[in-house]
Amino acid sequence: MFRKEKPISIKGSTSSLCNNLSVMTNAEKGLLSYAVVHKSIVNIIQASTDGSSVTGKQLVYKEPTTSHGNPFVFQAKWIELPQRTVLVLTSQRGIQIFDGDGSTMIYWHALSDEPDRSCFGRGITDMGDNLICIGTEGGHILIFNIPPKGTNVCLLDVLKGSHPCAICDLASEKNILVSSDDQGNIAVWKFLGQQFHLVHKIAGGGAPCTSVSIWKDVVVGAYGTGHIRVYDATSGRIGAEVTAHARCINSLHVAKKSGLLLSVSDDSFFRIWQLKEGSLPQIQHKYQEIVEDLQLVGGSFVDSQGRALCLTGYDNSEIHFYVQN
Amino acid sequence: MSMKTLPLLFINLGGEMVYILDQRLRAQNIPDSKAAKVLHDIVSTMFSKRFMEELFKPQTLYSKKAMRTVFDRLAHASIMRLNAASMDKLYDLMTMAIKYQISICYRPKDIILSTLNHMDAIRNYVEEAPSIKQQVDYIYRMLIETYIPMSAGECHLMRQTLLNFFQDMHIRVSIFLKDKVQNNNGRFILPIGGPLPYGTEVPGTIRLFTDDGRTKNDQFPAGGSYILSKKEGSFDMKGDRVTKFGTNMYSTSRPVETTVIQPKNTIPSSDLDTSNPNPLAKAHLDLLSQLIGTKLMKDKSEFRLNLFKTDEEESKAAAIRPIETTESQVVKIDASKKAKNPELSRIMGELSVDNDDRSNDDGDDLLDLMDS
Repeated sequence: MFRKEKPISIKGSTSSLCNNLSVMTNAEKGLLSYAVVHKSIVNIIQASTDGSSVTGKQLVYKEPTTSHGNPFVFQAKWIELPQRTVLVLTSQRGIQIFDGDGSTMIYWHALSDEPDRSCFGRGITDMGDNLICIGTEGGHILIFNIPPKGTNVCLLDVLKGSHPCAICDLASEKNILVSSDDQGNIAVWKFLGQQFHLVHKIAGGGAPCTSVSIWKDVVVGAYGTGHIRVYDATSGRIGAEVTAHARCINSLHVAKKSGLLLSVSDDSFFRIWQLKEGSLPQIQHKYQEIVEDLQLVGGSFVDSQGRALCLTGYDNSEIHFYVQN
Repeated sequence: MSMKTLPLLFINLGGEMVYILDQRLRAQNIPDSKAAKVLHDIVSTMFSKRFMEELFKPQTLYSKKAMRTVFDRLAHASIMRLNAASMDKLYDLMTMAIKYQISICYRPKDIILSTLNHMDAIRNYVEEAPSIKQQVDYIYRMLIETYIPMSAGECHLMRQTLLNFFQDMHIRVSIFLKDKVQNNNGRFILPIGGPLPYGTEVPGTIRLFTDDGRTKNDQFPAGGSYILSKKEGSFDMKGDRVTKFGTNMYSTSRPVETTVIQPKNTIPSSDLDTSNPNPLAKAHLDLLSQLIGTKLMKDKSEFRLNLFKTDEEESKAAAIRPIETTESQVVKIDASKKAKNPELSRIMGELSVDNDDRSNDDGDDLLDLMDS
């Protein structure tokens, strides 16, 4: 179903983090941008869709007052709002928001000032026309308002009390926000114009839910034990459970138009699944392949149909590509 | 990343160092009593209570350079001397062994089990020295208190933190190449199939739930033949750890050997604090050098350990790797600034009193050693 294509090389190797690959498509300009974290650096690669031009640059996560060197980046993700695209970085100490090409920092938010206490940010997603949601180590979800222009970003709300431990990942679709945590709990929220309301809490089994996705009310969680579980966002009921991988799953990504799901794992496999909506959503296995001797930490479809995908692996300095036959 | 990772990294690297030194001490026919003294001195320095208590405080990991300096100090905590080439080789072997264990380990919590394997072995080395054994037992308790309550998510972050410490290190180790667990490019071969992490099911089943509460099963090819793990290792002071990671992989038939390759195109790797040395790491180094300082002895009893087969090989290696040699001397230990951290200087003060007494004892030990 998929054939391997030429990889793109990155200036530094990929760090071991969940969801360590973000892709942004600019169809108008025919450009694809990739962000991959290497320790305290984010490698940004811009490539034309035909692959003829590839340029790379590095964004260093710096802090104004640091005595311990630059903190490690936990996640880098592009967020495409209707009027603006931004690049969001989270680290051990805080959150930084850059403009879409990573050239200017527009906002900086401190999460921890003490050198011996970490409070990292992890899990980034958008909501509505102008909101960005970011998870924290304390189990909170911070809601930021992003103006269409300028640097006037403000913290609107903090969602507390639903996660007893660190947030792992966030996902959203329309007005539904899904959050997952270190103990495998998943919370489903509904944004009703002004406020977020907790709709469901799905209790975890202890293993972290490292990555979540949502597609047409189908909530998908990937776990440290290699399981994938599929829930209905409206009822919170489980529709399917898959023994999907032999090691921790590090990333999920869903192709919004086709409902194809990509899962990548420490076990070197990437697998493609078909999601089926319904009151008890279902899942079907479509394809799998090994990327030899690579612990996969990032995976993303390149287009909304799921015709092409890209992968990153720990300690490796390439973005690997697979295209549908 | 995780702020609780430093003790695990230190104990695992230290444990691996003890395995390698033990094997080389035998290979070089160092008398048993001298060899035992070396291992005892190193273990007792490594596990000195105050030093370990400092490491157990929440903090980020040291830079690679600072960690290397700590082990330079530690390897010289006794009457054994290593030249720069041998020290490089020793450190390369230690780091690659731990990188392997952390890369391949089935699930993040197994890192704690492989640490306990190292602890078990270390405890065996100091079986005849009750005071050192007591130190080791104290660290067991600290490990159990700190790491057993950790959630799977925290362990996961800890593994990522360790992996990122070892990122971009690709030294080829002959024991790994022979065992076919490492490729010629210095990358580890990841097995497809084999034992699964405890708590993970064999891949290949899709359970579809229906409205009437029944389950329909679908299958897909697992891609390898996997074996379910039925037993979890013991996290107690003593017990079956189940995992082999962290046990001694060297023996007389499997000697310590490395093939060191210079990477063809080195990717500039960013290190946490190349520009800003971690002040805590510096303070710990000061404390460690203070601990060891009073133990340094006269040249007579010292002996040189060679990590290579012959002296020629060692000097050849020394000539090839001048960069590392200078690098290992870069970090300056400056005890004059100890006043910066009142807690540490207080500890140092206490230690120096201790050590004054001990240095007398050491004198006696020395005589014994010279006789041997």
